[in-house]
Amino acid sequence: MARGALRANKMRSFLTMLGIIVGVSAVVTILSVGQGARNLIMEQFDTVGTASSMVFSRTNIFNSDDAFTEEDLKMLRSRVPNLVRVAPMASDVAQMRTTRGEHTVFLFGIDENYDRITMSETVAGRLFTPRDFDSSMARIVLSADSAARIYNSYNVDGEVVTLISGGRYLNATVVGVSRSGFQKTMTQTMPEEMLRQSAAIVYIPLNSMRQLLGNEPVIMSLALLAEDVSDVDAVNRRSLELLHERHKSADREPYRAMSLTDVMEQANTIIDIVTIFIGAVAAISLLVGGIGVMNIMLVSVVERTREIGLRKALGATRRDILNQFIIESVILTTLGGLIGAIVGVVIANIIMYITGLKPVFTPVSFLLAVGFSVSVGLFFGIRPAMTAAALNPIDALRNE
Amino acid sequence: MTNPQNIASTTPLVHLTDCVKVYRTGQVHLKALKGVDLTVHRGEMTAIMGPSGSGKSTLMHIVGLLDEMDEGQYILNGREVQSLTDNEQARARNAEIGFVFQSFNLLQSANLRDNVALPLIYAGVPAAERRKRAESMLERVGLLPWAEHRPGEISGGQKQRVAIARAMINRPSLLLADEPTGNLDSKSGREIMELFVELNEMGTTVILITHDQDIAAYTRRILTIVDGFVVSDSDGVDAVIGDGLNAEATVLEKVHCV
Repeated sequence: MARGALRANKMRSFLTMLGIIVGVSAVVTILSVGQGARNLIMEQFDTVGTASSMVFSRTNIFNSDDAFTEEDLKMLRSRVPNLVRVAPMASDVAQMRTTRGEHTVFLFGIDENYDRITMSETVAGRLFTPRDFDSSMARIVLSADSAARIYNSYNVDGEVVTLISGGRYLNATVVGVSRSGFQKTMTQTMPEEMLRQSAAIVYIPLNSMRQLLGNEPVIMSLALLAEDVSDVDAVNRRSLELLHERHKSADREPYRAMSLTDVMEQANTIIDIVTIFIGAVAAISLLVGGIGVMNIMLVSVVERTREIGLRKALGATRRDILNQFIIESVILTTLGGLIGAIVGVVIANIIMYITGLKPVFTPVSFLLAVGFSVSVGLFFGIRPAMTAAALNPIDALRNE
Repeated sequence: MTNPQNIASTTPLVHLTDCVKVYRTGQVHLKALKGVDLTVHRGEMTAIMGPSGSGKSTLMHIVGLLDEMDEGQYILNGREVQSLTDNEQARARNAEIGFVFQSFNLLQSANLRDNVALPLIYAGVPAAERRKRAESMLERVGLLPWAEHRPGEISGGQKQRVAIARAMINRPSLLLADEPTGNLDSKSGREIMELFVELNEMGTTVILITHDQDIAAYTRRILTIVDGFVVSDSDGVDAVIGDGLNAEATVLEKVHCV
């Protein structure tokens, strides 16, 4: 009965629903993409560990004045309270000749402390063992992305490659593939043009890196592991103090520290702001949509005055008429809500396709969106329905 | 054409006494009914005639519980109805009265079956039975093959048949028709009137409002209203009141003499 009237005015019904569709799809999209982004951060958090942080130098391979030194490491180890472990990370760019061709790669020179701080995950093969760090035989670990890009596979252990840097060559054997939460953070410290040129990330023991370069690798960042999450801030602060003091660089501040919780908090704050902003836009859209529904229902009551009179003449009570119009309004907004939810899922998937983010569709976001649109229908449908129910049958029938 | 008067039971179906209705618009008070008595027994077929503005439609609205009167008493089927609440009146309309309007008043967005079944929704009849009963009513008025069609696809005469099927579906004790042939050509009008006669012969009490002598002629009793008074009430086709001026002269004698 209520559906008949809506079907008879398909175009109008659709336009009425549009506000609700826009509002609900925005809510579903932002909730699922936001949750996806949060999950991504949490994944990194899991692989890295909560008590770790990084200290960067504004050094790059073209200007290594403020690079970290062996003395810096010794000083930090002896003078920073609650610092459990320090791992130097040297970075450089090299050519890598493989059975699949030649690639520009990022070299990350690490020592045995690295994996114990970043808790790298073994994707295939193995990570470095203590022997690898001392061996004169060069062994490397590829990042998961690199293995996939170069070999189209993770089963690459045993592959032999040749690393080329400054006219020097070094043969190395691939022992495994790893995934590290630090990887993304580390690449952020590289100049952008290098990031664009480089196809892959290669982990290499500092020793082997020294062999390849023929001189001391430039250490651009340090991974720190504090005793406990609560010590991270103090460890970072003390480390920076000591470094600036030692390098007499307090005025320039070439070093900065970042804990993984900072990164997470920053990202979460951004996600929260975006969620609140789009949520507010969605709420306004739903409000405007609700007013649209009320408006169209009021028009509908006027248009269908005769019908209301007829229904009353045939025995409809006030409540029957009230229910009919409220149901019509709720059908409109619920349908709008469902269409909006579907549109939201589609948009979230498109965003996923573009950004590589995994959207998360929780039943909660779905129920929230649809529940909200049902309430909008109820709330904004009551006034027109009351107007309809209050009509006197004979006045309504007389209406032409 | 005349039809046999069915045996009326002793309690009248409609018993309206001293009915006064005043329309108030701002300062203007228009007395539409000035003390009308109307008694209709079960099985009767009555025509209410009168010129425009005479109050005949107002009378029908009051009899049909669509409008309230200002003074008087109304007993419908043995029950005093003017003090009923809105909802009770709605239920009484649903159970006791079938309406047929000049302009058919069918829902354009619903098919004929759903139009016919409409009163059953408000009677709380389950969907399957509504459908069955609506189809059986459509069959009786010869429109079952059109059950799935919309009102826009059929002729005026057919529309009025649908309206009659709708009015009869809840087996009302009283069928009220307001100018039921007013929008029809003469052939369709005759067919509709024959349908009313048939329904009356099967026991339905019918009250028609018309200004058309030929239509009134189908009934045994004609009641004429002029200017808010009943000026004549007669059995058969010979009870003809001329114009309103003549009627005025007889008003004083006829009032309260139904």
